[in-house]
Amino acid sequence: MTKFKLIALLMLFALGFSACDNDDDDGMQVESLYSKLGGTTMVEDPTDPGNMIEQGRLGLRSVVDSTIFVIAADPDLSPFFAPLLMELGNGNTNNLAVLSKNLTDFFCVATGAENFAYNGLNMRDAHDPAQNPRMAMKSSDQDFDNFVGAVVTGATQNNVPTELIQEVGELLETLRSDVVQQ
Amino acid sequence: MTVTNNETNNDILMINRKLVQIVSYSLALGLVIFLSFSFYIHQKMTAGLPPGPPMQLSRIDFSESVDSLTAARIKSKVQQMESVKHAYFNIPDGILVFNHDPKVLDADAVVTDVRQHFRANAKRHVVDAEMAGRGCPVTGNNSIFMKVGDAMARIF
Repeated sequence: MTKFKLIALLMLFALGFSACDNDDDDGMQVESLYSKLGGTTMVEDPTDPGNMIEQGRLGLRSVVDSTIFVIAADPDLSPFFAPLLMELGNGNTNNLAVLSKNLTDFFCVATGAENFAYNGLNMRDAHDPAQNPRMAMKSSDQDFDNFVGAVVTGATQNNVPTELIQEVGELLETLRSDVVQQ
Repeated sequence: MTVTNNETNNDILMINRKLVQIVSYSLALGLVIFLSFSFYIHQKMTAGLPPGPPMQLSRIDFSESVDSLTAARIKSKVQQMESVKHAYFNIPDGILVFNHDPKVLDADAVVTDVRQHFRANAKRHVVDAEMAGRGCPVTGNNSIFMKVGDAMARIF
């Protein structure tokens, strides 16, 4: 009888333990910001008729493209992105498109996209003039605040819900220590 | 003695010819490697870029303050111009930014049009070489490889 009770107790314990495990797994599955922005659902790309794009990427690309305009019109931020406003020709053929793609790739990966890769420099090296000759000056806290403000403006222009904009802001905040180097 | 001299001269000529051949082949091989590498870099850099002509971003600075209504009218007019896809007006700083296909629409013509139509004191923001070399950590596609790759992409 005692042996039977012991086995039953062990089975109950094991059952309870595995049940707890399952509960934990379900609780750990937090939806990524990329999923909240539309995730991998395929939609038609408005800039490339006939081709499909992940809705999450489309949303982020729209925010990035709007943000680029805000940056270019900001007298404090635009010096960091001067080549954007250069005349086309003389080797400058697609700075705008390259910046849009690279920033979109970065945001996709940072928000949890699985089908894209960011192949650029890490944030610390990208913003260190000693590592990246394209970065002629170190950025300050104020510059970073201006950049976050530009992203928020870009997201607002694209009707991104406030709670998601806040999540984007929190995500950007994690990069501050790497980007701000003065 | 003469035969030996002739033989030596022939040997030198042969060696010279061989040397020229080796240098020529090396140069040709170097050129092929350089062009292939440029093409590869260009393909890597431009993969995933949107289709269509390269768009230029241009900026107009207004020296006097512009009220929100006028700013909206200016923005709307510029947005209606051919090839302009998007425009943004930073009203507090009096700066308008728009993108356009430079082969279709000249940025200076836009400035002239805005000046005449709205009697605004506006001028085009031009980036000089010094400013251009100062920033943009994410682009950086003006390397020799990108330039050569771009030229090759246009040819092929």
